[in-house]
Amino acid sequence: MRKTVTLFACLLFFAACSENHVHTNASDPDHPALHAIHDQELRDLMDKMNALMMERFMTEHEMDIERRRHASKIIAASKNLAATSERLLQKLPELGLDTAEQKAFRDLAGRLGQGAHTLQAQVENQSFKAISATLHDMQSTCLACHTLFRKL
Amino acid sequence: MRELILELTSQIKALKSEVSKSNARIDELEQKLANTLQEKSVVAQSPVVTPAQPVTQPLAQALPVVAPLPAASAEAPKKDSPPVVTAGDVKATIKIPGTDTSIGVGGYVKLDALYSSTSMGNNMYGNQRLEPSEIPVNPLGKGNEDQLTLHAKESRFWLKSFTPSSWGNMNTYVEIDFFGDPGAYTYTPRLRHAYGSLGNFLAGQTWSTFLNSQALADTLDNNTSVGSLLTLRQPQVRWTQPFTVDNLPMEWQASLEAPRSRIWDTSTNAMTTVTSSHYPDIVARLNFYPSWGNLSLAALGRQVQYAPNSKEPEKSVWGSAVSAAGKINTSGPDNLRFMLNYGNAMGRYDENNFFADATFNQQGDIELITSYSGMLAYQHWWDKAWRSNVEYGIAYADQPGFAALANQQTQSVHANLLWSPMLQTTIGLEYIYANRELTNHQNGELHRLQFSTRFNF
Repeated sequence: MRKTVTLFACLLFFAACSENHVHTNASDPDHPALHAIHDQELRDLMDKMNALMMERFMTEHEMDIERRRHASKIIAASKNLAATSERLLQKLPELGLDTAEQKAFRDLAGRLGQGAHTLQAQVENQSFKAISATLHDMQSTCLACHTLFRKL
Repeated sequence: MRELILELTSQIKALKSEVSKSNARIDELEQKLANTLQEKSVVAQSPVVTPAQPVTQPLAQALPVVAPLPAASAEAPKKDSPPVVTAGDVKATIKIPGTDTSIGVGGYVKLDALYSSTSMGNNMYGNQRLEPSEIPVNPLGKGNEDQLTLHAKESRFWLKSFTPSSWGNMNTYVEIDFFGDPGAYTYTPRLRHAYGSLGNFLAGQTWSTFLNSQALADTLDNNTSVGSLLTLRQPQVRWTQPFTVDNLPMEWQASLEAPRSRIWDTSTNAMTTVTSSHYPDIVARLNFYPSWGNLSLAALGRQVQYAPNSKEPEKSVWGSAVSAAGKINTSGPDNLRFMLNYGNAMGRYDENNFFADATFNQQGDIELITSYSGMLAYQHWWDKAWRSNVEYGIAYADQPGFAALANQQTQSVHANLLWSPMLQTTIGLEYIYANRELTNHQNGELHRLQFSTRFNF
């Protein structure tokens, strides 16, 4: 009985330690922007792909099936992120920016969309090694945009 | 004002960090570009074809392999020669030249160092992995003191192939390890998986369809937890049919699997395995794949049969079992895994050599043994490299009173800390507790500390 209680205490400890891994660079902590949600979804899917390497009992063939399942979700999330980037551009007239700021906003939103298209192509071509670099570039774009325009 | 300055300072620090990473990435790309231009320049200038050099770069980069040419026609190779070896259609494979088949090899090398509070005896599997059926029960004889064992038997080698076709993708998979003999220093190869699949049809030896292998706990121990179904691989034919319901991906599976009956012989108080069966084991399973994990419901139907001796007629009876299992994502990469199993024909699917499928009652009739088992495990990721697993499992059988010395119950607890500094490596430490109780209430327990290293290739 004591061992069972100890075990459940450990389970509760682990559950309490588990944190919400949503990025803190969302524009509004209570209502994360849609592109931030898609970005986080992509990162979670990549983490799950990587975690397959740690699976103890799946055969390599079963892992390939799971990779294809995650890859199709990554492709869907990339398409959503690209579409969301387009919607960011459509919001430009409402932001009251001057000419130089509009150019910067347009460039950064375009880079985010381009990154999403690149990511989709990399997954379709199974260039998995290149994905982390693409995600890093996209994160840099997000950070730059938020730094310049976050208070809007 | 102070808060604004602090926020700006924090943002500037973050920006500096990103600029530094971007600069490092630019340097890396410039170096790669310089190397590529240099290699092209060397190939263009050389008029003589050298013998084929070993390919040292990752195959995914598809470097051309230059073959030797006859001297009379020795010319500089054309710059746009198509590569002979290219990356395959699935991860870790290359295309066999001239075919649509991608082939790959891999595996891992694993060392297990186990310190056990009690020895299972000489040359026993139970010293190399958790085998509840081998835990000595009280009173312990002399010689059952603590034991240290080191082995590399879980090291594994696999080969896979993938060929697209109009009938669906064709896959083959063969995997071996070295658990073929219980001898402490004997490394006999053992076939684990050997199957092929074409589209939705699979045939060969692999995990029983009754087992959801994704729900098994992430333990260092080769045999995972008590309460999980046995990590049973057996010959079978299987059909898998994906479908969706309200956008929820699902699939049903049906299989016919190699039968065996395990009978508790009350005259010898030992188990007998019967292979002269007449019907395959029949398994059906439903899999759910929501965004938060996977769940499965499986059902098993099988005939258990036995002829006590050549003078008596064969006795047989049909039985069944059910299993619910799954892996549920909780927070980030953390997950909960579980298995709940129940049936009157689950004996040999439950624990290795622990429960029989049936026994003979005093009227000479075959009597199925009902067993229950369950497992609960939680995996927590401290960060991208460190993770821990905690697991509890129990298995229990309603043994008839006359089945003296038969196993009644077993439990296990695993707790580990694992470090994967890179995806292909895991180093870890695990504590294991397990106990075993017989129908006559004799019991024994095991405490074990296991250190393992695993290097994938």
